[in-house]
Amino acid sequence: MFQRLTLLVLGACVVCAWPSLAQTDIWQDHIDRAEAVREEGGYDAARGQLDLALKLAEEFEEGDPRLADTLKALGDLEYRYQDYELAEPFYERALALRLENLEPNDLDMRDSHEDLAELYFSDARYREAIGHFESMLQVAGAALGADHNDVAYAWTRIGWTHYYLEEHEDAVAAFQQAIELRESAGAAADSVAFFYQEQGEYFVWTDQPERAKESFDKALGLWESVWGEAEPRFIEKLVELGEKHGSNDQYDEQEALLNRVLEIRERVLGAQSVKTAEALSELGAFWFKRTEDEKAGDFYRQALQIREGLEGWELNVSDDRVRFANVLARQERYEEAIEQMARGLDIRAANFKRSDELVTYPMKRLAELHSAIKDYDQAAAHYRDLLAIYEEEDPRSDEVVATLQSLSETYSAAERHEEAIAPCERAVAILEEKPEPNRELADALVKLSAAYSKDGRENDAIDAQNRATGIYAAVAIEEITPGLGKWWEETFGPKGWWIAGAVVFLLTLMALGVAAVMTFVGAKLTRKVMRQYEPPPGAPVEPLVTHQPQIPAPIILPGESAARVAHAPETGTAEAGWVAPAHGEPIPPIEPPPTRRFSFHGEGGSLFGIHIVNMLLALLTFGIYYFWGKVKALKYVYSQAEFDDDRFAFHGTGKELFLGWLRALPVILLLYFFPQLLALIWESEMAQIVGVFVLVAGIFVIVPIAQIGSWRYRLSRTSWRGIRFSFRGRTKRYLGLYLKGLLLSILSLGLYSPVMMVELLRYQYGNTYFGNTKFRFHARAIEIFPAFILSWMLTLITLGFHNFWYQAELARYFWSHTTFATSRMRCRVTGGGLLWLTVSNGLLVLFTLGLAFPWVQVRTARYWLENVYLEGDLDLTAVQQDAQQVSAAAEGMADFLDLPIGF
Amino acid sequence: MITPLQQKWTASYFDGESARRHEVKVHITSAGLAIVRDEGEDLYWPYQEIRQTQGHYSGEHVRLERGEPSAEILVVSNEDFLAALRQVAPNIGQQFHDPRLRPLRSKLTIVAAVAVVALGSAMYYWGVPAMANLLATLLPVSWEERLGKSTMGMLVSSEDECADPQGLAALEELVTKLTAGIDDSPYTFRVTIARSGMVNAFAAPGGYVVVMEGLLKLAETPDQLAGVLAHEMQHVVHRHTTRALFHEISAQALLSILSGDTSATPFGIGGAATLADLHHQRSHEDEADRDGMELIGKVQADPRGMIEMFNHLRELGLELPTAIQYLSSHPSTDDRIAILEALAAKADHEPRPLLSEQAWADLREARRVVQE
Repeated sequence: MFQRLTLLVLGACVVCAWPSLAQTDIWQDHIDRAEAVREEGGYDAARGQLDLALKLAEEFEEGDPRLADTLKALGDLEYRYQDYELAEPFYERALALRLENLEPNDLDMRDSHEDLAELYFSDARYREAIGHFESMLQVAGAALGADHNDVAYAWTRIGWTHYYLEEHEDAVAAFQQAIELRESAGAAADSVAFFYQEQGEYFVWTDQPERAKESFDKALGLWESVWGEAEPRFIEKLVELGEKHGSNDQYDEQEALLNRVLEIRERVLGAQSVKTAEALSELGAFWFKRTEDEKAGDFYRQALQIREGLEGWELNVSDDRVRFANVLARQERYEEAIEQMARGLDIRAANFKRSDELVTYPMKRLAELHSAIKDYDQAAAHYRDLLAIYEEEDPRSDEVVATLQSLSETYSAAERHEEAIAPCERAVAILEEKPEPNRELADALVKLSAAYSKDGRENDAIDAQNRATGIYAAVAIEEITPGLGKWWEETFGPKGWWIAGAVVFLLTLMALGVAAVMTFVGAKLTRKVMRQYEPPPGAPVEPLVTHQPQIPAPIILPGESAARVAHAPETGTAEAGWVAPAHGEPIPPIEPPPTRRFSFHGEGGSLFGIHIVNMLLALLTFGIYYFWGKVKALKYVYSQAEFDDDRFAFHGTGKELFLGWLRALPVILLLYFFPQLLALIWESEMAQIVGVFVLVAGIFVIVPIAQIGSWRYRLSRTSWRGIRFSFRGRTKRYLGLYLKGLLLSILSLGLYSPVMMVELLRYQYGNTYFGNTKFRFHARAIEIFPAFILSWMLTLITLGFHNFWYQAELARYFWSHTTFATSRMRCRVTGGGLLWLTVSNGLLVLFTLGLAFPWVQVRTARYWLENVYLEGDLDLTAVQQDAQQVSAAAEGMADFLDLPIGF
Repeated sequence: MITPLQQKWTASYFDGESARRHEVKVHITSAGLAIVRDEGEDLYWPYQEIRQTQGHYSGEHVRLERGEPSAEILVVSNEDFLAALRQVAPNIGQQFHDPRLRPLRSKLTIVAAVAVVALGSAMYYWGVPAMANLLATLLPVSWEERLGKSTMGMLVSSEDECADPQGLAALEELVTKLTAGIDDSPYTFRVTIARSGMVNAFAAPGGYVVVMEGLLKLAETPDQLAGVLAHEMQHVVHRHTTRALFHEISAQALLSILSGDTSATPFGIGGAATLADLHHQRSHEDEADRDGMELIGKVQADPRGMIEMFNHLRELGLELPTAIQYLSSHPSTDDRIAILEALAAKADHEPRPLLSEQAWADLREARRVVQE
């Protein structure tokens, strides 16, 4: 029993101790494995191993250096994958731990400083980098001696950091410091040479070729002194520094160094040495880059002479041949180039896999060279070979697409347009499988389109082109959208969309607010500028002092003679009108003048019934009933309008409307088909233009004729208390005013339009009669001009709402400047009233699918009539019947043109 | 029971010469109205000279006129006047409105509204197509040919027309065989091949049919091509495109009659009309399918060809052949194929080859020849 207990306790001890014993090995294993798996499995695998190692390391005793080591390893991994943000905390923690646990001049501390310094350097945080480089320098100096190689190395790093900070004096000093430290320490010449090289490189970067050459020469001198000139390492340095000269455009220096390499090789190894050939080849490459093709060719030829046929150097020979071929190609010596390229290709084909780029490159070049000498068959053959190779590897690779397109271009160049299409189509088919939107696909489609086009398949070409255009647009959107989205997320964070919504909402509110405020201000301003022209209540209207037609009325024939008899001068603006008093002049208080009101009693339902019955009868009569139905509706509407307790009446008949329509029909038809008719008799390209011009001009002539003619007709068929209205102006004169106004309005960019409006209204109302008594219209354009300009400025900012107030003010002004005998018309519509009328009518029509049209008509008529009244004394006994004869042709014309006629 | 109404009424009188209003008394007598004026002579208006111009609606004054052109006017504000008039002189003419009929008016409105909807729809569904058919039948074939020619000119430029003589000869052979199956057609069929990637075929009025090169490429057998051609030829024979044109014109005319002077045409009507059009075009395609299949049977071609072709098009997600129309709509592809299959199943003839292999090869290669 006791024994068993002892065993149990022992076993427990072993189990408990086992993990800590094993952990060290496991940690090391993870660390080791991390490096190994990184090479195979990449970042994720390595990070996994290191995370496990970190977990273990954190369990170790406090102060165990392995925790810092693990952190450093993690930092290294992140740094390697350029995730500086992730790497930084690891390095920082590693350094903190080491500062805590290690001696101040432990070399691990130097490493930690270096890690951080390089991290900051890579992350362009140069100031922080310098700090850690300096710490690194101190630790290294304390541990290894102030002139140690590592200290000098730290100085060069500080130099480079200063370079990026553009602190060039400090940079130069740091590089110099490194050299001086090593020279004073009597270090080995090759160690000093390294620092000269660094210094020279700095001068190259700062574009100081003279000083660079000096440093490089110094370095080379030192190396030569240690290694001797025949040493391969020295030759390598010559070539390397030569390239550095070259990168600073110091080609002479590079050439000199390369020549020196050649000279050394020739001298030491002899002119026929393979190494000499290498130098020659190097020079060939140099001159090729310098575009000195003659020289490059010479060197390559020499190099080839030496190495050709030498066993073991075939690959170098092939390289030389390919490059030499490129040189020849540039000299347009294509035949020779082809020969060299082909021989180079042969060697490579024998030594490498067919799919190796070393093989495919010369094949491609060969195809291109054949194309250049217009040997398209050969070129196509090479492309086809190439295609076969690529397709074997991966039938959908980019190379396959590129080769297909080159093949197609070759066919095109050979004028084998039909064959050119298939490769392009195949390229498109391959690219179509890639995720959309795909710019390459669009490019391929453009090429396909060109191929179709060359083959004469224009429709296909257009289809392909259209598809490409669509893809380009999609690509553009794809490229812009995530960019915008990213920018947005970065700027505003994930709540950005809410903010955007709120901003749009606020902006809309603001725009509406501004519109509302400006509408209010605009209404007040317009009211203010217009009020001064409004006659005060009871402002006297002087009777018209022209001859009154005798009783019985003269027999007046239709049309112009009638107008001439009663033709009043229409330009006498304020002949009997009210003239605005000068400012400050007190307006004498006047008793409220007597008023006579208008009203409207119509009902939408009744009008709807009339329209429905009209529709039915129109259907049954194939539309002929339309005219009689129209009269019925008009009669209803007129008879529902009341003034001073008596109703208006409409006296038109369906028959006269029908006849009027028949009379207008040929005019409209002639005008409408004028371009076609003209094209029939005049076979010229001009016919079309002239025809359309006449059509447009004709419309501009017909519109005013129809407008005023319709006014004339409606008035002549309207009566109140049995007395007819009439219009006695001349159509020709109205047309003249209209055309003149139109022309001047266009020329003055709209500034003339108020004048045009007032002139037309003056002619229209100023020649309107009730019985034998004339209406007079005293409005003057100059008085509405300020309001007109205001409306111009305010329309946009008020989102058009100002227009309601402008129209209301105009209506008030025009009506109050219309007089009849000794009385004055008045109107009291308001902008708000018009706005509500328009909005409510619009909603009515919208929600009833247009069926509420009669109600809209009724509401509109009621609003206007109930807001117009007549003010002042009126002796109606003096008004005598004086009817005019008028035809309905213009009404028919207006019907065709769908002109709105309001009365 | 009729309560006796007063027979003396106050009224306003206008003499037709001045706008002055005279307050008068009116007595209703059996043959006319006696008007008593405060100033001036009394007047007597016999009923046959009076016309009523206002007072047909409740709340309206009764307005009576007499004489031409500047009539005298009598306005009675009391609405009961009309009833009294009828009581005193029950036999007076129809010129006076009978207020007892007013309640009928709202019923009449409802009846009229129903009648408008019924009549309008009937005219749209039957009248317009009947009109279109009539006009299409009346239109001389030469006019139709002219219409078709200009339509073709717009659709296919002459450069795109295939001009390979052998291919066209083969096509001609196929068309001739098909034409033999159509009885008494006044049309000469002009089938052309247009160079285009589009996979489709069209029929224009007057015998014009275009086969797009894409469709020719898709056809594997002469029977498949014949299926499409038969369909298009039926469009021509039935004058579908011409009828659609007249349909459009008649429908527009009907709509303008309905809208009258309510310039805001109830737009509900427009929506209904569009739906009707869609139905109408479907029936055209259906007709062309059925009669096309019948034609295939008559010339003893393989009915599977047409179905195979339509199936190809369906698989490619393309539209089936149609007549040229303004508003494009097509019956469901699946339905069309199902109907064709049912029809093909009834066929009991042994299909004969339509073209020799050489001719078919020529026809299929026709696209390769470019007209210079």
